[in-house]
Amino acid sequence: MFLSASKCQIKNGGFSVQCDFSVEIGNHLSLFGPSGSGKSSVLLGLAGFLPIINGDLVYDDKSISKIEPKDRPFDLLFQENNLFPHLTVSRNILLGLGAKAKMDLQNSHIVNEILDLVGLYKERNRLPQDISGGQRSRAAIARSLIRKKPILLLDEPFAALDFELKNEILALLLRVTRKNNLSIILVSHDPRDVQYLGGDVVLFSENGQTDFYKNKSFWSKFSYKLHS
Amino acid sequence: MLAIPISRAIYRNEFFCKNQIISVIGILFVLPILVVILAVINVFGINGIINQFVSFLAFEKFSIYGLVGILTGHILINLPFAVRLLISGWSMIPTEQVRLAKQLGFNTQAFFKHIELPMLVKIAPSIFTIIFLYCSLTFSIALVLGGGPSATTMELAIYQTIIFEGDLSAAARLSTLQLILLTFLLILATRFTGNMFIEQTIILKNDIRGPKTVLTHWIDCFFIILFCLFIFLPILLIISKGLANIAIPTDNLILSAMNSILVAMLATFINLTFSLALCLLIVDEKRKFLKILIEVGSFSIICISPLVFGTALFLLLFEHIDLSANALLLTGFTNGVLMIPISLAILLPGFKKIKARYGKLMNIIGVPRTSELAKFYVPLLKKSIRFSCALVFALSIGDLGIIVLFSGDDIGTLPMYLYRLIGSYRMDEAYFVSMILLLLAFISFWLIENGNLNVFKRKQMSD
Repeated sequence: MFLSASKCQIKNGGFSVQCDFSVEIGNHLSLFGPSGSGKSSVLLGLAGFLPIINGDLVYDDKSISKIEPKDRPFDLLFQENNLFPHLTVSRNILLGLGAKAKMDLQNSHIVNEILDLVGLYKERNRLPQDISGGQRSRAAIARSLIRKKPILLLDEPFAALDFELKNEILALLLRVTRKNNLSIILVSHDPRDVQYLGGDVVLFSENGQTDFYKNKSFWSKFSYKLHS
Repeated sequence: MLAIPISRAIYRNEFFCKNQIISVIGILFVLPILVVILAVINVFGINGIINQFVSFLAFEKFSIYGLVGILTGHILINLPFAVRLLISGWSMIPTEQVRLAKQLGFNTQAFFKHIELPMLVKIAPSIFTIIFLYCSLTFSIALVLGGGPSATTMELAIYQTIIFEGDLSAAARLSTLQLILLTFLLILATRFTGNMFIEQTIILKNDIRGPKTVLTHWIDCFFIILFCLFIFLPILLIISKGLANIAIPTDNLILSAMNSILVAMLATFINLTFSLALCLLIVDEKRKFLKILIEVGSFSIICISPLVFGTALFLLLFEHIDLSANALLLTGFTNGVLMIPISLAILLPGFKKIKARYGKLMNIIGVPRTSELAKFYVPLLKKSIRFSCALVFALSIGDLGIIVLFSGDDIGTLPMYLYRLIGSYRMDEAYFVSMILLLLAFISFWLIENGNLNVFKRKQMSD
């Protein structure tokens, strides 16, 4: 199963960005480039929050360019405000099962399993403002996982975390996506994140140009520049 | 309660002149009370537009005087204020939360429950408290539209006890009771929602709206039309009647207008001086108890009745100075002091943010406390300061206020001049003066607050 964007042009106000890529479910993709080059706009376009004005976005041989965000095969993790501040961690995660989902026996079992997986069981009854930044990220990941969408879109959601914590969360993500055969599309301006995630890369330039690279060709071409 | 559906409808729909309407709502804060009273009488009074329509439909005319009149007047003044602050609240909902709701497929009910209700719980009690206190401490609407002792308010009772009965001890008892009740309410509101704040920034995000259905669309339309008719019809009526009765300003009118400007300038100066000093004192105070005490004490000024404050000044000073000759000074001073809580609600959040962000830097650089204000707070909070000054100036210009306690026949402000015209049934002149007062309040507010009607996307350091 593939997700492919062919000459997908995404409009964000007066600015638009075009990109081409294809990713097989189970593999990962990084949208990499400097700030302001349109990476987040592409991610918002994929998720359905910005219009795709040209080209097509295809998943499992079906066009998904025009469908509602909730019906797309994605779950997007934002840079911040991923959790509702008035709901406990477990209630936030429960929302992943639907706005009307009740915390009945069956659902609480599902929620608890996910809480265990991300190591937040003890924090399940706490409010987002009462837990650490890393724990908030894990809670948001838990809600994404419970939705069982095949592709996770990450818009630099760990920008506020320190290096070690970020790697810990990325390791958790890699572990659960491998186990459940999920894909990650990550927006980042940090080459270390791209390297850690692995997978193919769409390189964004400041002039609005985007280029798709397979993993190996990207690192063989840019390794020297990126590490300097 | 009315402001919630109205502000929601205005925020989440696109319609003709939307931005202009929001801008105008912003300056309706400063509607002079006497103008509101005249407007209410003209629209809802026995010969008003509504009653003419009612009569045309062969129904019996209704009287505006009494509780309905008091309520209508207060709604006309406070509804735009509440709507404006709630639009700010709606615009402050994080974009990510709205997108998250779309991603999770929230319907209208879930969107309200998880996104809108938490915002309302956070800011509505603060708005409620400000409006409640304002209504409790305003006597002129109840005085004119109350229609008799059956529909009186506590503040009006204090006014009548002081002016007509001269019973100062009874007035003191009433005002103490009022002070206790209002302070209790203020503490209760502060306990649940934190300190009062007035946010003047609106950031309209056109692509970020909650889910809508055909029914909610029509409900929104109903509220927008209702609000526009209710708010703009009375004001347009006053302006049109003022234009119809336009005349060469008399010397008295010019003198009163000058006096009003003088009072407003003095009030603004005193208010700004005290407010800035208090903000600095609060953010710099390290002892927590003292900090809270100063903060709560400063906000509690809002619970003091202007009449009681004025009477206290009267009793303190009448043996030492000629009160009538110094009426303008005393009115300016009183207005300035009593509006400190409003300025604090605007300025203090910004002061706290700057202290949190740059406090350590100021210490490291070794900025003297006296320079902190000039070098950091004032430049970074320029827009909030202008907004606060504009509000105090315009409110002061339109306020009948405590000058009624001090002034003789020879000296007065524009609202007082208007009050006398209404009292002597010189309505043609009264409409003209109302229009002047209205324009003076609006234009001064507009000029001080940037000279720019565009309230959108004003980003500043405190945001």
